Amino acid sequence: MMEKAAIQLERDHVHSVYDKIAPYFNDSRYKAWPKVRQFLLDLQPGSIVADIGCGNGKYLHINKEVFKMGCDVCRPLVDFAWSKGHEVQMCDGLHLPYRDSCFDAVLSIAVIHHLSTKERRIRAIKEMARTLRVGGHIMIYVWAMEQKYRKFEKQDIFVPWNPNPHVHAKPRRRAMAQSVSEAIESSEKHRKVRSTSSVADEEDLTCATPQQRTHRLWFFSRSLDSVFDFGSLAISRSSSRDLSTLSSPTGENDGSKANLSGRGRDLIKQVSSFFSPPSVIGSEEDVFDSVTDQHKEQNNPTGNNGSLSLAPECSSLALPDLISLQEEHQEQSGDEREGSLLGGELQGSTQRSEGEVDGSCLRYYHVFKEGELAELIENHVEELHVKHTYFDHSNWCVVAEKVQVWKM
Amino acid sequence: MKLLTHNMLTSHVKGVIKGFPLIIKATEVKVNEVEFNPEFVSRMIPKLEWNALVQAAEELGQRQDLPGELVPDFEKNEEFLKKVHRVLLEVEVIEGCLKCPESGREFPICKGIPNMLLNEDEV
Repeated sequence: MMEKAAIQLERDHVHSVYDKIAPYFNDSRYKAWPKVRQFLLDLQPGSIVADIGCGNGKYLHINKEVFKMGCDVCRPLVDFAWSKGHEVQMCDGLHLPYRDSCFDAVLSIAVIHHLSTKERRIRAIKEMARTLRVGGHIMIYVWAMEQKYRKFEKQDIFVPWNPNPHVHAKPRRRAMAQSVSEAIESSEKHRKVRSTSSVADEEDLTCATPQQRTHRLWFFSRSLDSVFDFGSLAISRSSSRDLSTLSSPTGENDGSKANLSGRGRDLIKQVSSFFSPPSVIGSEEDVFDSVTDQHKEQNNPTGNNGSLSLAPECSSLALPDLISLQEEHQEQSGDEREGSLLGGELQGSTQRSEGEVDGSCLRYYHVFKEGELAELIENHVEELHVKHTYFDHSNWCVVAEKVQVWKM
Repeated sequence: MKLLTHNMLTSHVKGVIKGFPLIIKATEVKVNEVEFNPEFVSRMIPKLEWNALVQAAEELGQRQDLPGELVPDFEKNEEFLKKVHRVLLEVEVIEGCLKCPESGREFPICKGIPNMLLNEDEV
């Protein structure tokens, strides 16, 4: 059942978003990470490499001495990669259509952070390990919770899509504030489903200036992993309120499996409503803890770890998507016009000016803490042995080697 | 889809034990000219399921005189390497499907891209 909710969440806030924003990914600002490039260049000639979650195929042209193939769930991105002459397939990272041990190397660059449960993330890594030959290496990049100057406050977040990440034009911000406030009005009825560790202050929101409003709004929910894990949930006052909301249809707070399976459909609906922004309104705290405020998080025993939140407008923060914000900034002044052209070209239901928060263009991420990825592999994927871990441009990175596992 | 790619692909429908090799039913095939790199081909060969490659080439009517078994000392046999190069990298399936040898499930190939996504009931 959690699986169904996870699949639904990923469909709404990963797959369908990428389908819509695919045209923007061919922007030159989204470059290949140098260390990934180097990993590919260091491979022995005649190697076969798979890029799992290859997107538009930006790594598939590197190193002519090795045979590369890519796969992704997003058709427009795969089509683009194909148009560049690459071998690509459509498939899902949890069910790879490759035989065991056929690859010399595997890439997973900024992919598994889109999987909404720990179990699914482990499964994805295990699937990739299965296709890797013994002695082969896998390189995994995921967004880090700890960013250069700031830190995501929560691990499970929604990030709005911004086609112009470097542009700070005021008019655009105001447009975003307006659309968000409209969204709040329309979601009044969802307010009771608030599952927060801090309480929203609506008065503060309504009298804030448009600019302040954009930075304060964020949407909470619980990470899918904690919703169903009643036993180990760190019960805070607000979260116990959530649990009662969850199980309220029959008036029982008993989280036994029998009850859940009986009301399966209702539960999935309730859980999904946690994840449909803008269903919940957050507090005035900034989504990011500034470096000096990190102690604040440690002192908060109720634990913010289980919540989902919306990061404020992308233009104000350096997202791991972009290779080098500093270098690129100088080049961007001329791109503003290009940006509006791109916005105009975008077809489909999201016909809005760029910079507006569109509930349907929020990407789900589970951002990783330091050591989390390596630990995940060490504890759950015995066929992989972690060789290197490092931090690169806002990503946590791991290189691991496939090893032979002997079972008695 | 090139035949080198096909050599890695398998059916992953739930319950299927032998989903490899996938049977190719092609409605459109292209043969391109690709730069010949003998060392590259030579290094690929040990990684291949040779019988599957021959079968696939056969299904496309592109086998020509590719031998059913690997020739000894193929590393130095340029003529042989050229034949392998042709079927591995130059022959391309643009439209058609890949059929699971066990379940019969067909995975479509459109515009050269195999769609290996499974339905909910197949996982």
